[in-house]
Amino acid sequence: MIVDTLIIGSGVAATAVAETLLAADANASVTILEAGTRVKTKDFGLWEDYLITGKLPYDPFKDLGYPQRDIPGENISAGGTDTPLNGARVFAYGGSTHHWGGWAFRLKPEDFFLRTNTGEALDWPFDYGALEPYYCRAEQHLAVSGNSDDKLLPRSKPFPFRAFPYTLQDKIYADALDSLGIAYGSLPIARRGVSNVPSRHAPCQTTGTCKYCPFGARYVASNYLDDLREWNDFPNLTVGLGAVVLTLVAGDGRRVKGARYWDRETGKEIFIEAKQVIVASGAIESAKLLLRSKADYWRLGIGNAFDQVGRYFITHPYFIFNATLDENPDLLQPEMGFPTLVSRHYDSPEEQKQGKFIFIAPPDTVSFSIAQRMQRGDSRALVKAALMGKNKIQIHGMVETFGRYTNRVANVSDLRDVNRIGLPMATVEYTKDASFDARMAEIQSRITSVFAAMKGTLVDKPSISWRADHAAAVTRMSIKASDGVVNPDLKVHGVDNLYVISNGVFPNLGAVNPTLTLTALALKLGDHLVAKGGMA
Amino acid sequence: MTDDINSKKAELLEWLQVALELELATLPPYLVALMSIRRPANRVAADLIRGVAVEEMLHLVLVANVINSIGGEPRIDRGAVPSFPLQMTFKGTAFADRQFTIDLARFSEAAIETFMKIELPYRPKTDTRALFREIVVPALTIGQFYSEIVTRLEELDASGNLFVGSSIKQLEADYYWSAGGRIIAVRDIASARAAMSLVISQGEGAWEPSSDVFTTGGGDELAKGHYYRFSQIYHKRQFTQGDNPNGLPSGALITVDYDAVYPIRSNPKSTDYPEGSTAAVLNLAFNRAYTLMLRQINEAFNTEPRSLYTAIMNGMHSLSSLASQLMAVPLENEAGEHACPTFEWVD
Repeated sequence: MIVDTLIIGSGVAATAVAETLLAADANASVTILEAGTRVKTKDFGLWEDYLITGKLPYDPFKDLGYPQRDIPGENISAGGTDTPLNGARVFAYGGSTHHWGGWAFRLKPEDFFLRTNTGEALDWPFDYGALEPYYCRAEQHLAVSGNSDDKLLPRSKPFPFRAFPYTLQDKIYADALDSLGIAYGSLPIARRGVSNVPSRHAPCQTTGTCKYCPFGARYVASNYLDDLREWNDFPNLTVGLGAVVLTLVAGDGRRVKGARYWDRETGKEIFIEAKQVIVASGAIESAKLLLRSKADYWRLGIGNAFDQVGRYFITHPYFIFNATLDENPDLLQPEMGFPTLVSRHYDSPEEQKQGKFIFIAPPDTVSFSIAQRMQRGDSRALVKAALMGKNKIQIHGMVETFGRYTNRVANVSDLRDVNRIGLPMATVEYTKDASFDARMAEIQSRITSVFAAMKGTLVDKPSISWRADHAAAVTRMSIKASDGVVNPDLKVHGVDNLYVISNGVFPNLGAVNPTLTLTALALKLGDHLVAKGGMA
Repeated sequence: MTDDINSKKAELLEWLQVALELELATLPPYLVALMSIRRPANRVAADLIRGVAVEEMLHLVLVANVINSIGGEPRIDRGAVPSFPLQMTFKGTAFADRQFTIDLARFSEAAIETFMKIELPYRPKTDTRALFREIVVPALTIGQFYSEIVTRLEELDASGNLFVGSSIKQLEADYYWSAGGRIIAVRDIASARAAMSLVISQGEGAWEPSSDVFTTGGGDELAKGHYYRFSQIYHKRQFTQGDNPNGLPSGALITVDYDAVYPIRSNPKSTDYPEGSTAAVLNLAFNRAYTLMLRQINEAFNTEPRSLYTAIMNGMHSLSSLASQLMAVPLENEAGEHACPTFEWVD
């Protein structure tokens, strides 16, 4: 059997492409292969278990930490700056949407012209206006709640759901930012709100247990794929779980013939033939798959004639600044499990060259646990006094970094070194720019003034996590084949029937979470394939 | 309040309890038909039945909201649970448009025909009740029954302070998703009327269809009354824009395969399954979960609205996998039947 479209991976990108193909033709032949297995979602028992133990049902499907002395781990960190994979992604049906926070930002118009504006990385081959209609569709797909009156970015359609209101805690930040003239707004988030639009998923109940939503209000791709399979008549849609794709198989001339995968259930290696292949396995795994798919012509891996695959690796350093507030007269305590206020003030053309950044008021702004105090035996008066008194507050955020040829991901040299899922382990080679620390110092001075306006005092240095949640740019889009891996239609340079859709295709990340943009690109790819009609 | 008003209100609460049981009773037959389908067959039909079933759940909540708004107590208990084959009666008399029994049975043409009868839009006939009012309890149609409820609500509201229930007990819009309509919190006569008219317009009490039912939105399944959705399955064709609601659908064909079902036993009782058999064990588990869910719903209606989430996430969602397992179990009888959940209350 030959399938028309083989999609490798089952996260949001795979889901959005598949949905677009099937909406155009219910009989489209689409096979999705996922290396991981199913994590049960919307399960009351698992949810209760999470509440009690703090353990998440998809924890076993994350990378282990890098090996250390006597702790065996997974993958290799080979650069000057550790970029942990542990916790960055989920290998399961539905992919990393199991654990994502749902922050659903659009890039800003200047992000599409990074090269022109700063000399860094590459420009996108199209501008904000070209992606805008797809952003609207992506917001529908992900069920994003946001403020449609926000003038930060032009939009042709309102958000499908209205923004969650600011929390009372946000007021501390809002007042400070107002006094400094720093702009802020509602954080758009992929949590379904209440509307008249029927959905199989419940509206958000603000349980604050977003890491495992008992209602499916936060977008998880597997819920969406399940719905596609269960409630539609798509006779030729197949999803194969536990299918670890080993290599793409090169065909004649400029084509791939299909893929070879290891079936976890039977232990057999299987070849699946396809008319076109879409690699949607996340930035790192997509690059690794191309790199290990070698053929006579593709000595360095399919699509890697110019040694571009796996290069220019970037992610977002996530910073956490701490301060103390002398008093908390309104007795503010943590409210929800997700943030509602964001400032994109420094996500601006002026900051682009140094690295733009955003920051948020975290949901546990005042980190105070009444339960802990009670367990300790504190009286009501003591608890109240403690809550009203000196407390810790935080500002979180992330900053844009730029791609470097030498920063890269690859497979480990011995492909038999596989992780718990069965995929060859990764080597991540990343060293931060020499200028990064100076940039963080600038950011620190701005954050310090925000804290000061709240009458807070900065304590300690910020903690900076380089965890590769937003790994990107390793199969970047380029007009010229020598500058990147895929063309503006996401087709791999030099191959007629192979596409990549992951954060890897971004030439740069801007200062915001990539998932909404990824979804928009996936819908755009779907439209492109539909418009082409027939197969490549 | 005068005694007359008090007794009229007590009577209204009785009617509303009947309405609650009426809505509850439609659920097992719809769900059994839905679950009996062997996937992936009959996807369109399954989705149509599913949508209607979810809207019946909405109706249950809307009726409960009306009861709570006037200070009543919606009862979901052993006495409210339907038993099959079912005949819904009002004051000992079957409804005029429900002179037939409803079975728990597999997805079939006959079952869909029954569902259409359940949801048949009310067609006004000469009202002969006045003639017999002194003699027998009138046989109401369900449409008339609901409109009597609305009339009585209006009458009592005009004569005094009717909406005395605690608004804390009202279930609000975010307790419902996944099908048409929305929950209306009831606080006054306008919202009570809106809640009841949603029940009527979506469901079994629909008034005679105006000829412009399908002038717009022919493609929106959730905007169609339940009768029309079942009718589409029966005729294996979708209603489309411009169709005559009294005629046949002329839209896209629907593939219906009545053979692609589990041959489940109709109107089963737990006593049909030999003690210790797989069917008995699974069915007991199902009935326990069913009863637990009903208790959770009762708690949601009467004590703590948030319990409805528990009823949904813990109670209801555990039922479908048990029902699926049960329907795959052959009963080893001559008829080659499979097991089916019995929907019985267990203590």
